[in-house]
Amino acid sequence: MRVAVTCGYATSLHAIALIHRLAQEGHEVALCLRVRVLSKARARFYLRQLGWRGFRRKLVNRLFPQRAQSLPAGSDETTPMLEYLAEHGIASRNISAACRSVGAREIVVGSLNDASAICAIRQTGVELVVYGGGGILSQEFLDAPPRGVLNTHGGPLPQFRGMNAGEWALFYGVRPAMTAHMVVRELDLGPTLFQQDVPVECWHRGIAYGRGVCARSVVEADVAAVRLIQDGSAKPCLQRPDDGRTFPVMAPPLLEVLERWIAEERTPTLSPAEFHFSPSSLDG
Amino acid sequence: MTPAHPTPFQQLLVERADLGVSFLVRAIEACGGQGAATFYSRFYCPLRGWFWPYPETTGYIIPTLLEYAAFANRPELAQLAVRQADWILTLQYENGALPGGHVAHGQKRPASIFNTGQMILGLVAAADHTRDEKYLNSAIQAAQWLAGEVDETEGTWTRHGFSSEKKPSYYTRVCWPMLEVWARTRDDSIRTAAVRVLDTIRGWQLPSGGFTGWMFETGKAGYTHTVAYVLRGFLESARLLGEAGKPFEQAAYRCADALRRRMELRGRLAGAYHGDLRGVYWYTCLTGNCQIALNWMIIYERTGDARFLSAAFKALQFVIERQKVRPLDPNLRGAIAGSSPIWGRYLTLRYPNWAPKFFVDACLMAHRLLGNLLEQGPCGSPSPAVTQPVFMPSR
Repeated sequence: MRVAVTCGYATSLHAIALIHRLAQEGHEVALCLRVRVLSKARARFYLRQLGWRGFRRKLVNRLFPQRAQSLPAGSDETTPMLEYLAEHGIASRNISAACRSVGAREIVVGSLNDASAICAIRQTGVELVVYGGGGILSQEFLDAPPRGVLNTHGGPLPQFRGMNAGEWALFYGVRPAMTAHMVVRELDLGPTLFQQDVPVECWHRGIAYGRGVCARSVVEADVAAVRLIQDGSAKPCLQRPDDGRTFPVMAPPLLEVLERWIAEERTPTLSPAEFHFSPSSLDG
Repeated sequence: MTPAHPTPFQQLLVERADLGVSFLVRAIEACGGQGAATFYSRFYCPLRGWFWPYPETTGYIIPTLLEYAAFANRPELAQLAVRQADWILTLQYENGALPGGHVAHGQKRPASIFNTGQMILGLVAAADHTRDEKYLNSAIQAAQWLAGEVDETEGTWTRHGFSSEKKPSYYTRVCWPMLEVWARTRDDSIRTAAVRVLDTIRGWQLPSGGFTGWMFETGKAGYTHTVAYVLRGFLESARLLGEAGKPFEQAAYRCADALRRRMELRGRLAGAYHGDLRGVYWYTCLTGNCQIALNWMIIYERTGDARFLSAAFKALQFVIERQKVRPLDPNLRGAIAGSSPIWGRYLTLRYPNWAPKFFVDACLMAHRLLGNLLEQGPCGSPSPAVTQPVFMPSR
């Protein structure tokens, strides 16, 4: 199948893995839409979201990923993905190199919703876009590929939408899982294709490592979902907004609590299917 | 209930709450132990720095000092708190009312609806702590005066106001202390009056979730300080009213949730909000941050929705980063400015006593909730917690 991949920055290991793995599976990766890191709108968004210190940290991580890569194994988020790249014989460490090696066209855009991005999808005859990051998508973008936009969410849907979904699931005592779904305008509310468990044990090496394992599993789930879509065997399951909640970025003090629970091996016991938010007056 | 191994954030909360209390103690000592100085500012008071004592906030500092005294095992703070209640007793008018504004040269100002309510909180807390009836009797007199002043036609108070806003929605925070008195006396005339006002103000809720009249000046945006007053009044009144208070709780949840979403999208709270929840973002009202964090934590306790707890920690962290820890002026140690930046519109260039008051309340509550989480483990889908007034020592 002819696919396109999106990504948020030039050294996204997740997107690099996605491009290579889709190509290895026999798909034609025709296009990669990469969002420019240093755009005014993006800088403003992150400054508001993270504050100056967080913004600087994010910027340094994005511009100098080798710093993170030089950290000892198991100490941060990128390690599992680097291991994954090595396992699959993927040598590229930036998007341009990945695109060159699979023969994909790389387009750098200010936003995925720019006319140039949408135009490129139509011109290259891409059937499906696999979302590998890059921001919130407009309806026009979502309508451009005939088979839509695929994303794998890092938490169990429909219960845990939004940010840090894996961490929130752990926080509520639910075993982490990820969900492949078709993207719609409303955040993480698109029809789900399947859910895949993430071993709880991977979180025992710390939250950052757990996140890294999730990112690796997301790539595999994306690849599996593209195969299902290609075969026509995908069975989308509609979500109801009331079946879950949209979560924000988890505040650091709650992450500290989570770290403590993990250290004490208070592992979650509920499967996503067993968990439901008790109806609160907020949901009414 | 201090966990054996507090998290780094819990340790930070304890350190910063202690600093906040040290500022409150200095504010009281600056007035000879008779009330807490309204604010500290070398710009407004170049010689002394401290402004005259402010009975209203001294009133609600009492429960904070009592709670912190129990938390930190510092009985001298409880004694200081009770002395403030004694000072408030000396200010009461014969009809039960308590004065507005500050007290300069021993001269008290005319009666004020809002300020009377806030001082009742202090009197009730002192009564609970000492079991001395004089404080409760004083609170009863004050609450009866408030009940008698409700305008039957308007369904709220129309006299003895503070600001140009004739019908403030933050009067919900007067209903709460009245209901605290009702909870201890079962005087139904007080309950009826309070519920009447709460019903009226609930009717002012806008489709956005915001309320009309939550500002000091008509037509302007309301500081998060007064926005949080409205919410707290509803939340605490609902707690005291039980099933009958559900509609008020709902009104507060709606508004608090809308504010939470805005904060998450924008990354921080605005300094002030219009009724339609358009924010004024060029400054932040620091005391408002602490108060809204408290409201969110209360909602988390009642609903188990951890998104509110997360939001509360973010709002509180914003203030922690701006508390004066090692200032050149030793009087400012532990102080929190009215606004960030300090030239912001709320209490420009001043360090009010109520900013550390709400900060300490928020730190203690956050500490307790984190302790509960550490003990209980993953929260699952928690059942509604038994809620207590924040000022009641719960340890």
